[in-house]
Order: sequence, then structure tokens, then C-alpha cells
Amino acid sequence: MNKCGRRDFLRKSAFGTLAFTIVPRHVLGGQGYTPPSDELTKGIIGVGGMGRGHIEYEGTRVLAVCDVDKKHLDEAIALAGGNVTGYHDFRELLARPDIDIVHIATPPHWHGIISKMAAEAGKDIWCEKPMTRTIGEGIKVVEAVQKFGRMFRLNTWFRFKDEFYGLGTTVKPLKKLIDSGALGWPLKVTVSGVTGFDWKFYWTGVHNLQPVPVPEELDYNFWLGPAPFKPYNPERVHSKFRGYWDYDGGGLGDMGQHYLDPVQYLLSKDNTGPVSVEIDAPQQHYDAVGTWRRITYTYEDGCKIILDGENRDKDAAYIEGPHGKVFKGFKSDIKNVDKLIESLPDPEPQIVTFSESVVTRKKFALNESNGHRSCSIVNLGVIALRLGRDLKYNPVLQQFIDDDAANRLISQPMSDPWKI
Amino acid sequence: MKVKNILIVILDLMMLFPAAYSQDKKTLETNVAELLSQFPAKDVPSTDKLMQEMISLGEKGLMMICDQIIPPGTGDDTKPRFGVESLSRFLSRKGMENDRVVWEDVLLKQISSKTDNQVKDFFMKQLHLIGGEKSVRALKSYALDKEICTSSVAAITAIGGKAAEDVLADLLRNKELPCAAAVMNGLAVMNSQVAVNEYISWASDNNSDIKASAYAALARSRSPLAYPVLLNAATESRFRWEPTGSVSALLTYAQFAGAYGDIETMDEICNLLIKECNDELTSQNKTAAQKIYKMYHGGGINEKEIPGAEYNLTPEEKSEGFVSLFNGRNLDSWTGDKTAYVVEDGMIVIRPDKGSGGNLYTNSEYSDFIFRFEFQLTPAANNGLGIRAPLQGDAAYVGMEIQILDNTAQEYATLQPYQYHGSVYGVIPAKRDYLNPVGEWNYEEVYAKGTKIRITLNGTVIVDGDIADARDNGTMDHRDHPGLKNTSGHIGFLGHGSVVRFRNIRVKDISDQ
Repeated sequence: MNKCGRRDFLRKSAFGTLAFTIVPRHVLGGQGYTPPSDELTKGIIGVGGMGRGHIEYEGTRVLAVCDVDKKHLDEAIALAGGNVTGYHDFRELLARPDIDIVHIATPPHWHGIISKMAAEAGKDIWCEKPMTRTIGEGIKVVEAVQKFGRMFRLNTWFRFKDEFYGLGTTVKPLKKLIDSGALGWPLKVTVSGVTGFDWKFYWTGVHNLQPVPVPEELDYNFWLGPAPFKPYNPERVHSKFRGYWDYDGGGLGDMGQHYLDPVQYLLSKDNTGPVSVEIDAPQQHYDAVGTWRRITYTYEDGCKIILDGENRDKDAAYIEGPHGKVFKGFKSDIKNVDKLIESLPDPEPQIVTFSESVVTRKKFALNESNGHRSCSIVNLGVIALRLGRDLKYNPVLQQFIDDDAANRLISQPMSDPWKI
Repeated sequence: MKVKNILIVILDLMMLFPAAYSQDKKTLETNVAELLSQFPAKDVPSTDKLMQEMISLGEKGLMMICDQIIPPGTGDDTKPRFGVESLSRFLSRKGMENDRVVWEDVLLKQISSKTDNQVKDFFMKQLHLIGGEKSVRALKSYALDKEICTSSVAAITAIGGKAAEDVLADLLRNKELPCAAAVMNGLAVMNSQVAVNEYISWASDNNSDIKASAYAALARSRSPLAYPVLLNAATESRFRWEPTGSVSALLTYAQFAGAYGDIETMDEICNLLIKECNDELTSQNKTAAQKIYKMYHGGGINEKEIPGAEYNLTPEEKSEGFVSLFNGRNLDSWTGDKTAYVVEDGMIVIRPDKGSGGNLYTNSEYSDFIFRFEFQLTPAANNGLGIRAPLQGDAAYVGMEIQILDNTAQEYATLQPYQYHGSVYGVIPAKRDYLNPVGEWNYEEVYAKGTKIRITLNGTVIVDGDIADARDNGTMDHRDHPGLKNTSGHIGFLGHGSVVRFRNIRVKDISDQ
């Protein structure tokens, strides 16, 4: 089969006959076997610890890896084995005609640029969280992914699978309960140690970093890319970057989208966002991420999300409405809540295997659109923390109200020559 | 005697002043040190309080703090950096304009007097939030310095506005400009049209990053001069993706052409890409071209972009008593011109070419209600939302018409205020400029309770009025509006010959509340 028709073939064949998981790879031939030429292929951009994990993601064959750190690149090539090509510049990987899916596991300050270019290059995209470093970059990614008809998956998953931290179950029974109206409306969600979540405040940065020579294996200027220049220090890069505003947003950046994306789903807010954000936090440093005590988001209809960073609300329910509450471990004050949930209809089915999305061209459960909205909550918090004030937001226009400076932070200029 | 006295006074002053000055300076130094020792503050109120204290140190005190900023690696300046950064953020809020001007001056003095580029850069960063036109002009010269160019251009871009646009455009004329890509990126964000010839000249640069920025800026310039350059670049790339993004730029150019009424050019580009982009390496461009084309020629947007639960009410709407008026599949809840109004991809679309382009009304009548819907305009589109309207007659007069209009179209430039989008037609004018760009979805809520009418567009209240006065004493348009007396009637879409799409239509009866 020639290269040009390969993806079309995959698309046209019934999805069920493609064996991503049905038959182990070592069973050659026979029904359900996918010959390598018909298998979906991927390239991974950013192969630090996180990106190397993507090599193993099932259902696809890795053809290329890319990193601006030679050590990372060599490790990834050795780990992937076979005919895997290593790249220094992600744009060379994007230009390859035989790659179907691009995985983006760089630090967040690169997610927007690479996602948009990958969409323009006709790739489907599997991107790490948080989706983008600014709200403006998120808007651009949504636009490009939809314009070029690409499939996008954000790499968090609690809205459709796995035990959701303190809840002790998946979010599905809670979604059923909320949609039935049994808890009433509006709802208040508290995300804290009390309700079973950890804000990971160890992701705070170090003040007054001293310049250190750049190690030979690292192309530090390329690593910075769109970020403003600051002298190299190992604290900034690799497993430490979350502690610095230029690249991420600390524990809020790391865990925020894991914790908040399912909340958007539970509250049926996938097409919108909060109208205000209030903060209680110490004075923030210009470079190093600091801690915070409390971030409160309010939606137009009165629903609230409270990020309680110091476990102040000792008896907080995870989710609370006028008619009922659900606590950590799915304890509830609603009588026979299990029976009630059993009697309720299931939520809308979702596509939870990215290969299925890629082949059928149907949106993945967590895609560019709802992913951008949950990432915006993280970024609203970051902007309020950094400005040191409460903010009002119009989620339809995606702009702050009466705050020109906050609006200057929606899209931030990038270092020469990068753009999105 | 007189002269002698004066001399004595002068001598006294000369004796006193240095002492007083050094005394003041010492006090100021103590105050500065005392303030800095309190950083970082524990919460927002105490940060704000420290910032007020910092402002009261005056220009000298602020300069003293700024002078403590040193190049990275030469000592610990954590505390003054806390102070400078926090003050910029504090002064960036509304109502701080006067102190902001003083601070801007201090920062500009620091930028010009410091020699280390890392220190200059730190002060330039502050201008991202609080800089104005004065900063833009002051930053210009640094854009020609290779070492600090990107910091300067980033600050100018962040400040934005007409002054920034002019400065960036002027910089671009310099062939030796060290960060031309960043300058063009800044101009592209502003959709600037002032430096098209310079874009074209930089587009022939050998550096592919500079080319990429030039193409992106050309794409948003809407200039006829840009078209052949982009077309040529995309053709040379055989419509395949490459790092200069030429095809993507051509598509953006088509989108802008369409949005500003040059449908012919938009058609030409889209048709070319639909024809040429048929293989594995180019099909995404065909998809994009088809989407842009369909925005102006119908066919609906791709269904997969409409979330599945679009027609379902949210739980809060359910509990509040909203009902859906459109299930995404048929017009069962509606009456009227069902030839022109058709269901496509989960939307109600009015296609005037298929029928008279008349009206589509709800089966039921409503008196007091909250009506929510989304609509998508095409260029120069005109429609209207009839409320408390009978099924016959001109709803604008025998009922009420809430205008639905592409305010940006040239042909509507000289309408009366009460004729623009959201106005109670002829009766109450609406605030303008809150429509999303043509082709994007808008979210509107109409609240009607007795004589009170409130229209909320994309989250902003654009009408909040009372029709009682107009009903009793005459309307702004001096026409007869007997419909203002209606207490009940149908809600409907009023066709005026253009394509408009509607979705997500919900209503709540509040006549008992």
C-alpha cells in the first residue's frame, strides 16, 4: 500500500477490525493482526521522563523522537529501539509524511506553538497537560485544530476513566447523580487535602538563581524558544521547570488540569468558564512560582470551585448542592445513594481510545475544545496570583472585564522569532 | 544692610541644606531598607499596604530601590526584585493611572541609565503591564541593539495600540533590524496594514523564520499586494506544510478576505486549494479551505464541531425551568416559512434562496420570558428576533423586533442608533461592538418582563430598558409601534434575505414570577 493512501485506508476500514488491543503483537498473522504498514504511527516531541513514557502508549508505532537535549534523545532512541529517527528540531519531525500522530511532551511553554504547527502540518495531536501556557495560545490551538480538521487529545483522563483521586471511584456515578438534579443547583466543589487531592506545593521555584554554564548536551536557547531569556541554571529545566512562571505554574500547572477538567465535565461547563477568580496568597516572585492558600472560581450561575491549599475547610464535601453532598470516598448524605445512581441513565457515551478518534474522525472525550476550557481555569488562577488581585472574566469573549493589564496577559509576546 | 542680610540668609542656607539633605537621604535609606525587609508579604492586603508605602517613598525612594537591582550572578537582589515587580502589578490596576505615570518614568530612567542588558531587560518587563505611549517611544532605540532587541520588541508588542504599531512599522524599514521576525509578529497580532511593502521585502529574506513571520503578517494585512506573494509561496511549496507556513498564511488571507467582504478572492483561494490538495500531505488544507468556503456559501459547519449535548439543557437550566425549543433534528416546535428555514447539522439555517426568506415563529405564545439562543452571522447579514408578535404583519411594529445584524458591514455604516444589533428596533438602541467577528458564534439572552427588556450579548448587557415611555409617548423612530402594547405573542426569526444560523434555543416562562 502506498504512503498516500495508507491513512485513508485506515479510515475507511471498519474500526473494529483494527486490532490495537485485541491480539498481542507477537501473534503474527490471522484475524485481528495489523501489519506494521497499516498501523497508526507517531512521533514524540520532548522525550524527557514524561515523553519517554509516551513511547509505550499502546496502539501506535513510534517512528521518530525529538529533543533539544542530546542525552534525552539518545536515551529515547535506545528505549524505543528499531527504526526510530531522532530529531533536534521538531519542525523536521512535523514535515515527515509518514507520521500520523504527534505527541507533545515538552514543557508547557512549547505546547501551543507545536500543537498549532502540527495541526497545520496535518497531524493529529496528543498533548500533555497543562494544554497551553496562556489563554491566548489555547484559543489559537482550538482554532487551528478545528480549521484543519485534526483530532486532538489532551493527556489527562479522569473525565472518562480511572479512580478520581479522593472520590475513590470514576467520575461517572457522580456525573449521573449531578445530572439528575438530586444535589440541586448551584454546586460548590472543594479541591483540597480534605476532599482527597494534593496541590503539590513542592513545585515552587528558587529565588535568585545564579547563572551556570549550559551543559554541552543541551541547546538551551532552543529549550527556551518563545520564553524570555534568563541565564541557565539546572533548576529551570527538565524535571524542575514547573517552579518557574515562564514555563509553567507550579502545582496548579502540574495538577490543576487533572483535578479541574473533571469538574468542568461534572458541572456541564465544557463550553464556558468562570466569571470571577479570587485569590488568597502571599506576594508572588517575578520568576519563581510561590504557594497560595485559596483560589475561588465562581460561574455565572453561582456554581463555585474552591481550591483550598491549606485544608482550611475541615468538613468540606467534595461537591455540595442545596439538596445533598458527596464527600471524599463517595460518602453522601443522600439516602441509598448507590441505589439512586443505579436507577439513573448513563451519561452520553464518549470516545476514550485516541486511535478510534483518529480512524473514525470523531472527537476524543477530552479534546482541544473542552481541554482549552479546563486549562483556562488554571491560567485564570495563574494570572490572578501573579497580578495579586481578584479578577472578573467574560468566558464568552474570553477577556477580563475592566482590567487592561490582565488582558495583556491573555496573549503574551514571545521571544524572537517565535509566534503562534 | 539689606544686602548683608540676604547674604547671611544665603550662607545660612548653604550651611543648613547639605545637612538636611543628608539627613533626608539617610531617613529615606532607612525607610527603603525597612520596606524591603518586609518582602515577601504574607497576603494580598499586606502586599497592597506595602505597595502604598513604596509609592509614598516618592521618586527618589523608588530610584533607590531600583538601583539595588543587579545582574544575575553578582549578588542577592531578591527583595528589591520583589518590590519592583509587585509595584508594577499593583499599579497596573484600574484607578492607579497617576502613580503609574511616575513609576513609568522611573523605569524608563533605569532602562536608559543601566548598562547591563539583564538589568535593562528586567525593567523592560515591567512595562509589559504598565507601559504606555511614552514607553513605546523610549523603547524604540533598543530594538536596533541585537543584544536587547527581543526584550524591547516584546514590551512594545505587549503595550500595543496605535503608537506601538507605528513604531514597529517604522523599525521594519531598517534593513539591519536584528529581530525582524518579532517585529512582524507584533504587527501581525494587530492585523496591521501599515507596513505591507516592508513585509514583502522581508519575505524574500533567506531566513525561514523571518519568511514565516512575513507571511503571517501579510496574511492578516488584507492587502491586495499580499495575495500574489502568498499565492506564489504556497504554490512553490506544492501546498505542503513547511516551516514558513505559507499555505496556512494563504488560508488566513482567504479568511480575512471573506470576513471583510471580498468573497471573490476568498472563493478563488479556497477553490484552488480544494482542487490542488488531494493527497496525504495536503488534505488538511483542503479541509480548511472547504470550511472557510462553506461559511459564506452554506453547507453548514462540520457536525463534529458541535458538542453532542448542544440541544440538551444544562442541569441548572433544567432545574430553573428552561425548555428547549429546538431538538437539532426538526422544526416541530415552530411554524411559518419552513421552506427557507431548514435544519442542517443541528442548526436552524435560513436560506433565502430556498424560499421567501420570511419568518419562523414558535408554536406557543409567550408574555414574560427569558429566551436564550446562539447565532452565527454571514457578512452583512440581517435578521431579527420577533417577540410578543402575531403570526401576521410586520413584527417590528405589530410586535417588537430585537435586531440581528452584522454591524460591521459597510452598507450599514450610517444607520440610526436604534437600528444596530440588539436594539429594540426603532425603540431602544443597543450598545455596539459586542458581537463576535462575523462567522463566529454569538450567545444572546433576551429577558422580557412587563415593559422591561434586557438583552445580553456574549456576556455583556447591551440593552437594559423600559418600553413604557415609548409605548405611551412615542418612539425614537417616530413610527407607529402598536405592538408595544402587546402583552403576549410568538417569538420568531424574521428573515431579511440573508443567511444566518441558529442553535441552542431555549426559553423559560417567567410570567408567574
